[in-house]
Amino acid sequence: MTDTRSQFHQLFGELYLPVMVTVGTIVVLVVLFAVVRYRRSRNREPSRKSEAPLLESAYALTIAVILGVLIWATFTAEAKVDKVSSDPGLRVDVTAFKWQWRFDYPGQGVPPSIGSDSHHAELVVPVDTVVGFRMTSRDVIHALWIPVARFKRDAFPNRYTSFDLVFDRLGTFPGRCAEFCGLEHAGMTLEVRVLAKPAFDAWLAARRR
Amino acid sequence: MSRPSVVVLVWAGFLVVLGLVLLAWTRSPLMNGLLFGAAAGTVLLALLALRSREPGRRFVPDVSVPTALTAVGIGLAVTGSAVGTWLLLIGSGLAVVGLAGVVRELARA
Amino acid sequence: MTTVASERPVPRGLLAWAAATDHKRVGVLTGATALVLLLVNGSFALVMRSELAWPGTQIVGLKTYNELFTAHGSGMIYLVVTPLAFALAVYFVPLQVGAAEIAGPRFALLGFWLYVCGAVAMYSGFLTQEGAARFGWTAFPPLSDSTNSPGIGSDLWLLGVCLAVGGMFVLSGCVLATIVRLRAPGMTMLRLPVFCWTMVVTALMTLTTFPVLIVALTLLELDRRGVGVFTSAGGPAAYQHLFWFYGHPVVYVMFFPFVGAMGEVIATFSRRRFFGYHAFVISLLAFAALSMSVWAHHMFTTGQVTNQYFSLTSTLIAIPAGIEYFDLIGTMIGGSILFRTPMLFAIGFLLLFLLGGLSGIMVASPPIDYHVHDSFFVVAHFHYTLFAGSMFAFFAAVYYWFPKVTGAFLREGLGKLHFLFMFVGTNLTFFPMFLLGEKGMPRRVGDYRGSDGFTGLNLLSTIGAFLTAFAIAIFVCNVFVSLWRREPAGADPWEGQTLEWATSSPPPRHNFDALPAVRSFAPLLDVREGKT
Repeated sequence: MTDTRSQFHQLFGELYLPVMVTVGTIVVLVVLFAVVRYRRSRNREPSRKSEAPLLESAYALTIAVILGVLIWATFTAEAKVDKVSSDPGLRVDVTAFKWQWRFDYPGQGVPPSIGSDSHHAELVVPVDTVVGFRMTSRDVIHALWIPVARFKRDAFPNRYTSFDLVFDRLGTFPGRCAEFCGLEHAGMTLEVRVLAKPAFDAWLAARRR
Repeated sequence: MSRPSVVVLVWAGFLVVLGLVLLAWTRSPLMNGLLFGAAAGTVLLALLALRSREPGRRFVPDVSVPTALTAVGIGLAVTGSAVGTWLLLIGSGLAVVGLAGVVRELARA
Repeated sequence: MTTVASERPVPRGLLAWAAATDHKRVGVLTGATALVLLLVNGSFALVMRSELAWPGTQIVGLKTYNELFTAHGSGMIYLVVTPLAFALAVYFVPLQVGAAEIAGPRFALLGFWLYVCGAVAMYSGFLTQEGAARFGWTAFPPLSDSTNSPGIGSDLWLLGVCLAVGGMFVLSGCVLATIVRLRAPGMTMLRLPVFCWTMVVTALMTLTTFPVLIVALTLLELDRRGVGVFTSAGGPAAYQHLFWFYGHPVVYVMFFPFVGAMGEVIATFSRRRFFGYHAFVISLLAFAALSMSVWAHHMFTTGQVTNQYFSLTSTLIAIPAGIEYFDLIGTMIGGSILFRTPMLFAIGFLLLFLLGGLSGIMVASPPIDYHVHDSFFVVAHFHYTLFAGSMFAFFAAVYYWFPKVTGAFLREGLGKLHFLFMFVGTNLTFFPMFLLGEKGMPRRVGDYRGSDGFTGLNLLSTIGAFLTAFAIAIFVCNVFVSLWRREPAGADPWEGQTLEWATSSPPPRHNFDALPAVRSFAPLLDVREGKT
């Protein structure tokens, strides 16, 4: 069971961001050092040395090692994030169309949730459960973005795409279309409601009636 | 590396290597075709660069109105293909007049 | 070179400029056109930023907003930054290699006018009944097909882009042919100035990828007329491959020339030879080749590409990019740095492009990209590369080469003011966008809700945009003041190192009366150091 949100935080928050901040700080400090130390008013004769192949190779190698670590972490995380379970706890079919969402719960005997001008489409899911999504579009390319899950995926017409998400916290969260899809793209929003498992079952039962 | 054709070939070599690595992941004809196609195009450029002797000096006038006319003609004709036949015809006409002018310039040089 | 440069009188008048075959005039025309369009597209950005300052639609409706962001993005990329790069190249490459002419002067003129025609066609969509194109600069089908985007405005946009990109293709051919065929005696490839080297790889990328875009857009136009090209299930993804095969290299077409110009500026104002020339050249070739193999990192979220390969190549770009930083900063270390305006912009470039580059490594990682793709994070990322990077470098190049082109300096005081406002304004505009994207604000939206929690950062960004606009206004004033009351600059006001400084300012019609011996990539520095 892979939670895309925690994968994102491990990869971005605990690895990429600290590495980039460190590298960036070092470069800024070196530039400032050069600017202060080698300003013209200090009247130094400029150096005539114009190559340092050894130093430069060592430097390139250092970058390569750092990148190696980053790539390894990326591949590891992506393998987990992209994994699609053959037996998810819940299946949801997503249909994107200009400019709304439709969520079907196959096999649950509940009517789909379809957005309209007066209310958002609602994606209701149980907490800590692998939700297997199957998504398509009815017209142009859209993209389902659920910021709380730190995940998005494009919806193409005439094609199905599958992905799994796990929601690890209760509450109501915004979701939206991320791929520009025409006039009302900005308003193509949805609401994700994550319920405790008993509450989710009650919600299903109520919808069945 | 001090000859231009060698530089271009080195670059084509880089592209081929990247294309071969891509083969390890996918055999998509489109993706591989794009990279190897670019490499092939680069080799063609290298062959062109091989004829890199100094060309014979030719007189080029400081002002070449026919050249500008040709470009504007092409522009109008291309735009005209969406706007309407009249613009397409005007553009094509201008381009032909312009080209004739360029030919005359070349003949005079 | 034995051509006597200044024997014939220089033709005057409007037509003598509009139909000039002199590469210097074509360069100035291209640059001036692109600068005017920079102001046009910049004002579009101001309208968009004003609209986004608060939730709700106040200034323009969604339709207009969508037209504006399409015009802004496509205008800046196809009509401003790429042409600015080639304007510098068309003007300075022949001078730097010691040539009397550009190769194919008529072709250069042709390229300029194709570009102008393309620009006119693209903007003319605003005058049509259905309005201008509004599907983003990427024009993905099916959104850009005739069902979803009816109207001739979209056709005009597609054809206009083909013309403008075709014009740049022709210009790049002239630049590369000049380097290949017209180098002065002694100017071997490994004695080419740094800027010329960046133009070699830029032209290679242009020549191999620009035709792919023209093909893709032509197919799209055929699609709009009912031929049915991208209508199959795999069609939209196939278009994206073709588009990004152009669309990623063009990012470096809009970057390398400015890095090269920075190499010249930093070496000159540090009064020393460019550091690590050979490593720079090799890494540049590798950099350009890698940049041809990263295109599908724009498609990580499609679920239809091999993410690992494209993540790998995209991340590896940090190696040659790191080497370029090493060489640029290495040139400053041990130098004797004079802080004139060009150097200030060069340092600004080094500091700000860094944010664009480092955030680029982040978005090269698919699990990170899954969150930030098509969000304001990406908007921040590419504005730090294109605006804070390329445009800062472009302004450095303008302050550096303006005396050569016009024979007069730009005002130093106004220049420093320009730099100060632009540095503050740029960061205030674009840094909040990183945070907005991470918080969940998608790009290409004309509105958001008050409950989204995006308001404060958006307001900050809008204030930054107006500061930046003020900086650009200072620059425009500077240009007019400096041309009006000229502070004459001699042939070589900065102690330049490359051949363009070995002739008068502005250079005569055929560039040189006599050339110094060329024994390295910095021939004038050799003379000063007593090496010849």
